[in-house]
Amino acid sequence: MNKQVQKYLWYFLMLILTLIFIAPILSSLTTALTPSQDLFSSAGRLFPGKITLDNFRSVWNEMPMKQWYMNSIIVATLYTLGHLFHTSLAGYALSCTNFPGRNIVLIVAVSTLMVPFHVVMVPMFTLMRDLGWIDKLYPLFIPSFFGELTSDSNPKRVNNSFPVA
Amino acid sequence: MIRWGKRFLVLSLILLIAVSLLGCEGNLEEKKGDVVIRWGIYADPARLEIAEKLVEVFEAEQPGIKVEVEATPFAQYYEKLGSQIGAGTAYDIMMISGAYFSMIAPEGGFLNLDGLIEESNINLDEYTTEDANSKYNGGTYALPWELDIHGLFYNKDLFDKAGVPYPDENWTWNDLLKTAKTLTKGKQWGFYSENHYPSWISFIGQAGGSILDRHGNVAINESEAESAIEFMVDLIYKHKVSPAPGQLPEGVNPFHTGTVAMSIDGSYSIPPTLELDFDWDIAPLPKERKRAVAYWTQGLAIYSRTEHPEEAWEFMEFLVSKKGQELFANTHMATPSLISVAQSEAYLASGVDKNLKVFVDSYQYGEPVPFERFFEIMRGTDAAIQDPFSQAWRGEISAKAAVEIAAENIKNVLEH
Amino acid sequence: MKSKLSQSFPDGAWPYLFLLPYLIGFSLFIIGPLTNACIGSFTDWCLFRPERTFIGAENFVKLFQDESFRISTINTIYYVVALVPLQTTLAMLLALLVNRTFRGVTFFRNVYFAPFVMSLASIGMVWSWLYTTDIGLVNRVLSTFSISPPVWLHDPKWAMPAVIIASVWRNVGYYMVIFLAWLQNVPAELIEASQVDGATAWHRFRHIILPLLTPAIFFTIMIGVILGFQVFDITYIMTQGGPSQATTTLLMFIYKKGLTSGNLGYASAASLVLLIMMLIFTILYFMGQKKWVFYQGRN
Repeated sequence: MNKQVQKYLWYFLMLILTLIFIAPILSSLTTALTPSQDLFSSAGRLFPGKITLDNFRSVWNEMPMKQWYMNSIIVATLYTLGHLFHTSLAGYALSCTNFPGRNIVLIVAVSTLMVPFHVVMVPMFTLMRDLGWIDKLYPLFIPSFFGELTSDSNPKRVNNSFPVA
Repeated sequence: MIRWGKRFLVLSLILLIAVSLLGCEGNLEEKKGDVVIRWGIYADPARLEIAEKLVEVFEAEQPGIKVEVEATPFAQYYEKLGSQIGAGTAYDIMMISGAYFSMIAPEGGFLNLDGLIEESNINLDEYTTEDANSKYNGGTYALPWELDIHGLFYNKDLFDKAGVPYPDENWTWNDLLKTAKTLTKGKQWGFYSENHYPSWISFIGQAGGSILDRHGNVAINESEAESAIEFMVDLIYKHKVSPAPGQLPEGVNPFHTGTVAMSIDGSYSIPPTLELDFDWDIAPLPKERKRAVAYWTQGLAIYSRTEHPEEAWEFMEFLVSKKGQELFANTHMATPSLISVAQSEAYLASGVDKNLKVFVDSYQYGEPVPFERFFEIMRGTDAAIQDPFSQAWRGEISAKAAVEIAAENIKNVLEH
Repeated sequence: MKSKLSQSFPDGAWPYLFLLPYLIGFSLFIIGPLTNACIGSFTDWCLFRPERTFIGAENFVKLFQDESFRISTINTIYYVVALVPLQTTLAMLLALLVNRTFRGVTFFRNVYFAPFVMSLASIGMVWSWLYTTDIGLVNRVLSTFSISPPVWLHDPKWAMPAVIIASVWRNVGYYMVIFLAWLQNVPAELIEASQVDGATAWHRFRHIILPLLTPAIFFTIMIGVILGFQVFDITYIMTQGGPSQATTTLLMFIYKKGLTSGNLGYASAASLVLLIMMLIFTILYFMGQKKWVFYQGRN
């Protein structure tokens, strides 16, 4: 098969897929820009008819968005730092060093993936209360500096520690 | 290895700095001797506004007591409250709905208010007091704060365009159906028949039925209740005056988008509905064999392990006093529980020309939603009624089959 | 002169030092609360009461007689069994597709990964609108192909597939990245050698690339199953448990019973069962690893 034709075929396929992947995101953007009266007719549209910024305006005014943004930025930054901290250390230890108990730690790390957050939520709340951390931002990022229960942290660590030649 | 050690140190340093920076969040400015009490409420925007106002007025009258408002969205409010009670750090004074009152009062979470009520001049008969939401074991543990009752919201613009007279207190189911038919055309429906307990409890009551009869036997599969469900479902599939589940985007109130001309909504929905830019008003729900409308109350309770019972009581007294209720009524956030205030200008003429009197008047024929009896069923965590009803609403089974299944399920629940 | 001690501890105390933060957190934030919850499953632990009394296995007995629990378990298994093969295969295919080096390939990679960064709540909402009957985008597209579309989120038969489709859309990008990383580790010499030998593309894939990808497949399936068992957000937002519990998953059951009804002991019992199910899967899965996973550099 002609190499050029092949290349264009792949390109075409990727474009179609792009459309499929983007469509929902585009749809939500459209809905955000649509005045609420037209919502009924615009639920399926990809591009907005009438554009309005009213929705953004009312969210900004009615909800304490500034506070929320600040909180999100603080938490996200510190969480990422903490996460990198403990996963890179642990990942290094698990993948590049050898020590008795290595397999156990690996298995244990994988098994903590399986604990859904809701299960430990109430005991965690009690723990935070004992530490005096209720109503502060600490519980959102301090655990990330140590080991903690998130379903995303462990896959990365485990992937890093898969046996490398 | 030395490089790692250095990085370790640097990272810990960053951590220390970050933590200390955050520790310096603004602390509450307290004058020495001030008592601070915490008030837990749901976080609706309108409610937050009125809460601030109430706190302002109260603190001016009672220097020495400061009230900290802690608002949580309704969906998480009771989770949070539960964890707090479990941890012993609940709010000093808190909002409590009927459903959760019956869960927490038996566990001793609330302070007994009998003595305090006697000493004060609060007469519970003047309020929309429900035993189920305030009394436990003969004692009073919560006071009613607001009445959440329902009415028929209608879109005046759509009515005017079709030249149809507005609903009134003489309406029966037939009137509702006829008008809905006239108002159904194109992408517009006349009525929103919703599988939501405020709606079907009202309709069942209007047909003369109930979930349980006077003797406590299951009555939801009696002909009266069945006729109500049949009517509601027929509106969708037989008369086609109401959208079916899934036909409209989820999470959007079709009344608000002008897609339906009439819908059942509550006295707690006034502030958000006021923001709409079409003309609307409220009418009493139609009657069939009798009048009935579903309602519940939101109350206030004091934490049994509060460190400031006297101050919390002062605040509670203020909230249910004529003054506190009038301030609350002015915002028409919901119907105030003090009946005299609900009937007064403070509520009815509170700056909006909507027929709020409907809510006040319909209290006399109100049907309390049996939260305390069927907590899990009403909240939806037990699918005893929700499953068969949603099948009926989807047109999969008949109303008769739905109420039979619901009756079976309720019998099972009662037997355990 | 290596002492016996330094033979069993070749790297000295460093590994333990590095693991220290993780272990601290593990005991404080995972084991502690988890044990608390496990003990709680044998009590009448209630959200609104601080004390709890031991009631033995009563919660578990009730659990196995509970119809909702049975339905949630079946739904969750359905979700996992449908989702994991689908997302693994699609992710692998996508990775093969974008494993090229032409200008703009990064754009496509980002596009396919983009859904993964959206919050599950917004994904749930957006997709529930897309699935609206008649006017939603999905049904509009389907009707242009003259397929008469189902009611999706309100049809007990189609609600779970609807949720699964949305989940695949979201997850595929993440696993694609993992496959891509492993693909780019395939030694170029092997590819060249096979081309010289006249192997077809399919042959190349089947006998060279696929075996080298098995670790990635192993990982994707494992994570996919474990996360799949814990699905909550997307069903909660899109269908709130679904038409007649068709999309009520185990975690939703646990949430409803535990945090909405306040029956924490009962919910903890259910989560213990969930945990054990996942543990059994993981152990069996790991044991079977040797049979088909091929790591470069090993025999």
